[in-house]
Amino acid sequence: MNEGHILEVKNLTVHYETVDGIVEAVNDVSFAVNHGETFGLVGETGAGKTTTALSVMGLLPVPPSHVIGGEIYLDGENVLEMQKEQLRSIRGGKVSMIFQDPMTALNPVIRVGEQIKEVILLHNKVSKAEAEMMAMDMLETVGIPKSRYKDYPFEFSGGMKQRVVIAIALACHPELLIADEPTTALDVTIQAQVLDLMRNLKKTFNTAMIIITHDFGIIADICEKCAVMYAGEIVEIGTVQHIFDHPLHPYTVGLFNSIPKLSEDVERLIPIPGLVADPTDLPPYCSFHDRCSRACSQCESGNPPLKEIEPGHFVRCFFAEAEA
Amino acid sequence: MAYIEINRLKKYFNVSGGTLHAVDDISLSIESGETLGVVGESGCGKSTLGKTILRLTEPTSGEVLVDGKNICAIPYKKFKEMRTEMQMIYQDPFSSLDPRKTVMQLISEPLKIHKLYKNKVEMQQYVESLMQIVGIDFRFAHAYPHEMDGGRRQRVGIARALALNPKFIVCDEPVSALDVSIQAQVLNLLQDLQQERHLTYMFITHDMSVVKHISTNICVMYLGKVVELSPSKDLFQNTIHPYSKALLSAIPEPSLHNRRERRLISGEITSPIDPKECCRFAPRCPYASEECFTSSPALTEISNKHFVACHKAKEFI
Amino acid sequence: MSKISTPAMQKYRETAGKTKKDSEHKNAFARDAWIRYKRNKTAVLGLIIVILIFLMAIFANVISPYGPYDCDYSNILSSPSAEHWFGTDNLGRDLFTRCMYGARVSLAFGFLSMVGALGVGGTLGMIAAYFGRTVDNVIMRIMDVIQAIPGTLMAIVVVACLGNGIPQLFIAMTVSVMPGMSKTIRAAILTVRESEFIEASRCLGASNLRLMLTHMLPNSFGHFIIYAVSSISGGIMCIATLSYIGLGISPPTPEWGSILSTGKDYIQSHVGMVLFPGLLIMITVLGFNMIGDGLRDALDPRLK
Repeated sequence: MNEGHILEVKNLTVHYETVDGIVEAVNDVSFAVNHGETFGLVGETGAGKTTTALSVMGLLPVPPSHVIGGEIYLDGENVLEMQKEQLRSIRGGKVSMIFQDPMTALNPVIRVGEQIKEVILLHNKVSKAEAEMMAMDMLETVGIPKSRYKDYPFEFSGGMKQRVVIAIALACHPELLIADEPTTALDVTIQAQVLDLMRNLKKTFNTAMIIITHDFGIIADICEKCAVMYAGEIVEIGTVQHIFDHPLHPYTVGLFNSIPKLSEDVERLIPIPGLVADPTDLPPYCSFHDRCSRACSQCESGNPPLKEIEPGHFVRCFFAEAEA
Repeated sequence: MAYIEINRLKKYFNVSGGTLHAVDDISLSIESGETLGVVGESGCGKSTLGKTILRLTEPTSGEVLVDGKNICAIPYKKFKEMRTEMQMIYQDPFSSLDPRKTVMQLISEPLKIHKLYKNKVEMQQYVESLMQIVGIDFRFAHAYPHEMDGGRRQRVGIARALALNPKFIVCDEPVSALDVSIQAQVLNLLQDLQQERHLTYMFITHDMSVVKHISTNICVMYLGKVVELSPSKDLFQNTIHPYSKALLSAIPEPSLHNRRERRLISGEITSPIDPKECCRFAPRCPYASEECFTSSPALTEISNKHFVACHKAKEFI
Repeated sequence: MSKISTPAMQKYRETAGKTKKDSEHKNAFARDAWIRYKRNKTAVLGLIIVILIFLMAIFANVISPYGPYDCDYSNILSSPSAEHWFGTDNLGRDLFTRCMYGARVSLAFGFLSMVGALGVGGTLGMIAAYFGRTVDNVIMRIMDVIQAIPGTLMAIVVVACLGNGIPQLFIAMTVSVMPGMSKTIRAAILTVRESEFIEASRCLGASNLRLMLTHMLPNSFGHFIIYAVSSISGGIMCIATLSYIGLGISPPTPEWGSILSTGKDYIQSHVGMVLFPGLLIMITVLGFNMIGDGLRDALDPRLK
């Protein structure tokens, strides 16, 4: 356990039971987040991003999901071994989470200020009046005037609601904030505002953040490190400089080629052929093999290990070294 | 003569609290074989514009000319024939396909409605060829939508739209619900189809980079109004309207270099219910002056085919 | 894309690429629903109860050596024994036999009232949803008025006006179940009508009738099948109540409500005459309700 890490996930493996069989949602995922660092988790639907986040929060529904193996150390303590009460006390305190849809994350019949106050009272030994003061300050911090303390969620627009959600998440100054697609439900101009807010708050509170997204733009915008997930595995992990300027895994490269960009003109996009691997039936070898343009017989021999190609840049591909 | 021509099209909805101006006095045209990209944030009326052009909702006033014919004047009962000419591809392939129908039933529905086949064998062959065109394996013919992934479902939607051999297709955010790697596949398919069949597209989206990639002309909408209309290249090289600029700069670019300067606009979209006679962007515009709050700017041609609705357009060139 | 294949690879691809056969696909929805239904223990129990009651009703004459009208005056009001499982009634008739024959009447009325209400109420609900505005308003307000009167009371009123008899009873029960049915169907169709796939089909040029029959009805099916099953239990309760107060099936015919009614005079000495038909009514109603709940969960694909 490194002193600088707020979170360390080691070899996490999570499976879901469904009618169609066992879904291997997360396979052998390891990463670490330092204090005050912003870590991006990027991948497509079903890549296992959210499952990873929920495991960290201890929020996985059991059943159908089962943690098959691995350890999650939050500030040195293993989340997977915690009792329910202990989990409850760290949630919202040491670690909190922002969900994708701000419309459903707030209780519609409780005033927004009260919702922030409630969280503060739950985790801090303060009087009600003090908590109210703190809640008002929190609203101001996220750019909502104090006067709206007594408003109900329906009186807020989508962007404002997401600000309230962020205020609730940050109310107890968590050391780690997990944001699951925090801006997907918002319009671009509002998304820019929220991203700016998150960047500023990170500076103010020195909170470590995990940003889960499918949008490389957001990663480039606020993250320092990032991991690319595919079919429950991390296929590439490194600093944003590594990933954006020197991507090595064919999947990462493929993703970059398939997004239309504003700064470049391309006649035709180069899509990744085929479909995302079926998580109930993952092959015993590289799961990207069937869609990979570089696949060869070696790729069928087994799943490539996550190998350090340059300091801090890990890639799960047999070709990475040659490429580098 | 443009293939699609819209003249002073308006669509108002009566809602509690007033009249919602979803599409407010819009005029534009689309040449045959071109793609008009319509961008704007949620609630700007871009989807309503598409649906009004297809007459899925009746316009409040104004006219839509398709190949010179005013389709709003055609009695509704005779409108069925027009449907073969213009089609729509929906955003969400989950909700736009009947969950109780198989792929075969879904794709053959337009053929049944317009009685385009003589016997069952012919129909099946036609469905098979459509599935081949959009790239779905025929083994999925008897699958239900929920048994397929988003990309394949969207392909079914495209096949349904193509079945009637239309000339004009309104694509309402056809790729926003899809994963990035699938998004590119569908965009390429749409481009290929356009070339092969000489289709005219109206491409509605909120994603500036997608619209840049696929469009010939781009129209930026804000609260029911067109604020900027220009050939695609020109719009990105020479953005004039403050809203278009803000929209462009708000997009996080997936690159660590050549980062554009952020021009954050404060506030959020104002209510489209009974808007005042003024520039609708004025409350959020950093450059707004008194004039902007008192009179509504008209869409004027600033340079060749580049139209802007802004009082201060000349200063921004 | 160049692909090199090894035998192991090939084998994997074959198994991975294999999809379900056509026949399996055809009933995928029903199959999934059945899988979800089976997982629900109470729903399965409900189904077993109802099947048992059905078997009892159908094979009443095979199971029992006695007839429902066979009086044995030497053996009246006997306690449950090996010969008479539920004992005998005040005329020496075998109570178990009468209860089994009574199931026929209860189930028949339960189903008939459901079918009647589904026919009349369903059509009215569909018309209301289809035409909307004034038609909708008129139909729904009439339904409101009918619904304002408690179901059983409504049935009593109808029987009192039209007289006693099987067809009258059928009308009475249909009328009392109809409002709920029409409202359920109307609501279901209104929900489906707003779906995007309806607009998508309209965009293809589909007529209103086509939209109604091929898209709206099949998609709202789940909603009213649940209501229909639950209304069967309502029908069974209703006929038992009517018979109990003497407005339903008249005495010699075995019916749970009328057995109960006769039995109430002997409740202190021979509690079985009240207990057994009462239990049967309760269990049957419970069974149908359990099925209804199970169906609701099973037919909702979101709960997969």
